[in-house]
Amino acid sequence: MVCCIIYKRRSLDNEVNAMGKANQEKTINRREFLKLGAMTVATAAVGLGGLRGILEAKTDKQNQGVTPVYRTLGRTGLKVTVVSFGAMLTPEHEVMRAAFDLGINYVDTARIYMGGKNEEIVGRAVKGIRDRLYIATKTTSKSNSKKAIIKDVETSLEKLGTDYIDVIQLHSLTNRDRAFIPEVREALIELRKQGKVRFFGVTTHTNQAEVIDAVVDDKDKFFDTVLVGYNFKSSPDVREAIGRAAKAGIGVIAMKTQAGGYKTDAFGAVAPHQAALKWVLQDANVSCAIPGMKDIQMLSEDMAVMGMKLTRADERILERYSNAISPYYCHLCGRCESTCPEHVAISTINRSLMYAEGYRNRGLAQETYREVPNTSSALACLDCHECVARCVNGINIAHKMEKARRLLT
Amino acid sequence: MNRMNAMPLRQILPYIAAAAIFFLFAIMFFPVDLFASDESLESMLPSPGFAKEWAMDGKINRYTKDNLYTYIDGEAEIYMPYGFTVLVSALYTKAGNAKTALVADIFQMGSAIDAFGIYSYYRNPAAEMVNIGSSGFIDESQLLFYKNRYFVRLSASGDNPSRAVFLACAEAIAQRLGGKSMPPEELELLKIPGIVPRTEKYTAQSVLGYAFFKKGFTADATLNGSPVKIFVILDESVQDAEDTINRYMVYLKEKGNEPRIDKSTQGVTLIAQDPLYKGVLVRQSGRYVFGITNLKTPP
Repeated sequence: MVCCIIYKRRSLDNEVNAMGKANQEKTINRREFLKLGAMTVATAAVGLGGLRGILEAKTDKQNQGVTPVYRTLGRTGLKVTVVSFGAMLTPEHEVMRAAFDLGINYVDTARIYMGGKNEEIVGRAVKGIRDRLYIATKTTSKSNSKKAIIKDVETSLEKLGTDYIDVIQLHSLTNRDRAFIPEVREALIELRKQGKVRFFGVTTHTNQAEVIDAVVDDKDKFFDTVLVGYNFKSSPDVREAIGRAAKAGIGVIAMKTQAGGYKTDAFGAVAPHQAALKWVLQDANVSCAIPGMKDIQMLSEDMAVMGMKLTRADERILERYSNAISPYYCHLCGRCESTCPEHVAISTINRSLMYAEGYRNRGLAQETYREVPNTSSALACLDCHECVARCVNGINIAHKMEKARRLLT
Repeated sequence: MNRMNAMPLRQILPYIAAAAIFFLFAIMFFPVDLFASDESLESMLPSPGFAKEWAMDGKINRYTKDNLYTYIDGEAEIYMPYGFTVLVSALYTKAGNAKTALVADIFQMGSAIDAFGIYSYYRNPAAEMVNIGSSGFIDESQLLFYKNRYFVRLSASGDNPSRAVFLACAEAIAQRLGGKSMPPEELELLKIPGIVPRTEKYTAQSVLGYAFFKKGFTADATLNGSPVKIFVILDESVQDAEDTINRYMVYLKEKGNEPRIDKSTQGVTLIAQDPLYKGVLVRQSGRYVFGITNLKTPP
């Protein structure tokens, strides 16, 4: 019995470790580990004799291929590669270095990425080649005082291992107010006088058009760049605001170019990554895009886009992808809920449907749906003869609620 | 008829007893992990507060795969390969001092090794370690640890709270999470000489930046006084491991770096110049691919 229990405890241990994981891994045998560890050391100790030639050889054929394409980053005058490097997702500085060796010359990081480690990784990647690269980073979003801004920049300089930052950006503005804080501007001007920063920018994920317009309308022309989420799913107001920014001489940098590309997994083999990037870059108002690149494969795919045109085939891919995700692609903005007189929890219900239809996870869908109080569930829609709730992105809300009643209640 | 009905019951009684004992053991050793559901994750956040004058301000926010990006923007993508399911987040403020606040985030990951993986993504080897959860560390504005399948991040919002405040909050959460603060057993693999402490990482996607290295460990090490990197790719089967090393060989050849290949009964060994990592020695053995990078000269 004891043996049985011990055995089961071990099994349980493994189950607990793996609990909740979609693809459960095989349990790894500890002895196998230790043996493997010993083998690694043994290999290191004895396996390299006579191989100096290989280990010291130069690699001649790497870094071949794509010719970089440049655009001017607004009134900064910087010539940046249209495909630049979003560093946030990259844990290995060697991958970044490979990108720089291939010609990418603009890298975007932030004080907060990876809990502060991302700037250090960028610092390692740019070591020795700093003078041929442009580095953009961001203050923290809570830094709204002169002291805090200066501290952020000083810390970034130290982490990046450089004595100047090309573009310092105020992080994640959600409205126009943060663009006009006097002591923040005072801090940035002081830092520029000290030679620690060259140009100023802002970044935005929410109320993007309002933030962009604030920068455009600023009579002091204080900010030189905007970093904005922009992709084939973006609303016209963002696209138009980008146009106004470019016309005003503001450098526009695009992020989130893949429109939540991770969702692709739920729809099979539709892989719109290159097409999505091309779609962004065919807008001449965009100076560059900064897709995140975790590995060499992503780097190769993204690099290859430089110089490519958006083709009819690409547009078709994006149409298909867009159509595939549109019924599910609720932006979860919640703006529709204020238009519903019954206060139906439309966002949460749509999320439940996404689990059911997109992820094929009915259990999770029902679990999520149960979070909604009865008074706000899709059943509340039955009290209305006609749905007056409206989605700014064109989702048919009445149809979705009807489907939720059918699938989830 | 009655006798026939009674027989099966007698037969299964020992199993019921065994199950009951097993169940009791399970409760003793895994008080939270067995039963913590997504819904109860909120209760892991101390409420109404965790120390005198420090209370939760507002409601607990809950994020899932779908909307994590609304909280941490594109950084959300980092969490997905590690089996992220739910995040609960609360703001704590000090009475009478609106400028000092602390945000407590508890991320529920796919498994203990996933929690370690995301923790190791953020770990600062030089930071001060604290005895909270597994391998907690603290600096002036944050405290991070993991425990079982949970990754916990406490960060300052506004002026930095004191060290004591960070510790009190972290201890309160760690206690609620229950269970033991043990690193995932797979980390035993890296208990080998020369490893630089606290540099071990688990990567759930594209180890060393190569998509064909699907998941595995890396760690900094010192070999004959020179810095190198050790890695181990965890494949699902021998066939998968063979595929992995074959894809690596193809990649090296595409880059013009012909590897020297040794095949033995133990597996395949490559010696090569890697485009990113200089000299490498890589071996496939069983369902593992492992090796050393950044070799400049043989030992």
